[in-house]
Amino acid sequence: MRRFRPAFLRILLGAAFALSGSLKLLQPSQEFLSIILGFKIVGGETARLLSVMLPWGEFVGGVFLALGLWAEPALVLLWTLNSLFIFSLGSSLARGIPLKDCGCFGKHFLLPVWATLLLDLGFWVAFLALWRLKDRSLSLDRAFQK
Amino acid sequence: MPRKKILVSALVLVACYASVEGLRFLTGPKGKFVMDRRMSSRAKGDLSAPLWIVEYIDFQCVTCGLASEVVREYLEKYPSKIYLQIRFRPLILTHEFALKSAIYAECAASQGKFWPFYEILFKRQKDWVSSSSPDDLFHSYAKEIGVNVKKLDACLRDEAVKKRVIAEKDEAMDLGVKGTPTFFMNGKMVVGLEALKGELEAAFPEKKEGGS
Repeated sequence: MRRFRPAFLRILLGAAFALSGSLKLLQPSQEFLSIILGFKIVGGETARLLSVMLPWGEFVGGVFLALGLWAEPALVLLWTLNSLFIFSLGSSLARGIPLKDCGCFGKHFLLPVWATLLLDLGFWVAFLALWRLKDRSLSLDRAFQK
Repeated sequence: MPRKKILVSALVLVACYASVEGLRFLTGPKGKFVMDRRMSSRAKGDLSAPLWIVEYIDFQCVTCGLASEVVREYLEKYPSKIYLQIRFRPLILTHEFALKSAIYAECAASQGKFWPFYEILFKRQKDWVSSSSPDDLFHSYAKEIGVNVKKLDACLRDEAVKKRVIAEKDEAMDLGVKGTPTFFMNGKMVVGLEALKGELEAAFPEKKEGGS
């Protein structure tokens, strides 16, 4: 079982992002747009585009990472999104923006901003570990390599 | 690159899209937004205006108060270009007095006093939200703006009014209105204060350029 630990971590991370993306996709994109605008980092068309693209990126990237299909590109995509979330949350905390909801898990799981930031930092470390381990066990990539 | 892998990747992508669309169909908004011309007691502006705004509010929501100021500013500047209609979306689970305040406002509306009551509820939001039971405050506000208190009390006892407000909330939920303030600007859903400002600035670019 021990040798499958990296695979479990990969599946867990993928599932977390797939869940987060799907919860955002199931609410009107306007809901997520209002949250993006609340961060006061981007506005207008950029915010509108992000409100549509980000949840799909999280969902599809999460599914691919969990399946271990194109796992490395999926990991890079999610790691980049994760870094963006950390930057946005950190910057909102630093600027004292009173965010009621970071919008990270749609409207279903409301976490305080600091708790979400800690969670995202944990994810960041997990991505780093996965990147360094380059483990392919329990992945479709490995099955296609054979 | 193995063809099988590409094929499986394409299948996974299709499955992702289909599952989201399927869930959206099952759990998404059921209703279709329509402008209700009968709600004249809760409307302001010119019916023939090119921009129709329907605002779903909760009187206990702080952002709704801020949004009402933004909309009022635009209405004052462009009275012939905006038609505003207010609808209730009390967030009953999180706001203790959301339903009660909406019922009072509906009763004030039945006496043609919706707008002054709307203004006073947002202006003094902090006072009544922090009280243990806001009925006395609501009554004093009603008196202050000239509402007939006897008629108001009769209206408050009328179960049909409460049912009407709850039906309006349910209708909002069917439309996918989960939070407040949510606007429908010529039918397009706009959520939150920042998005509202963006849409209004886009609709009236001259106001931003004028710097007022």
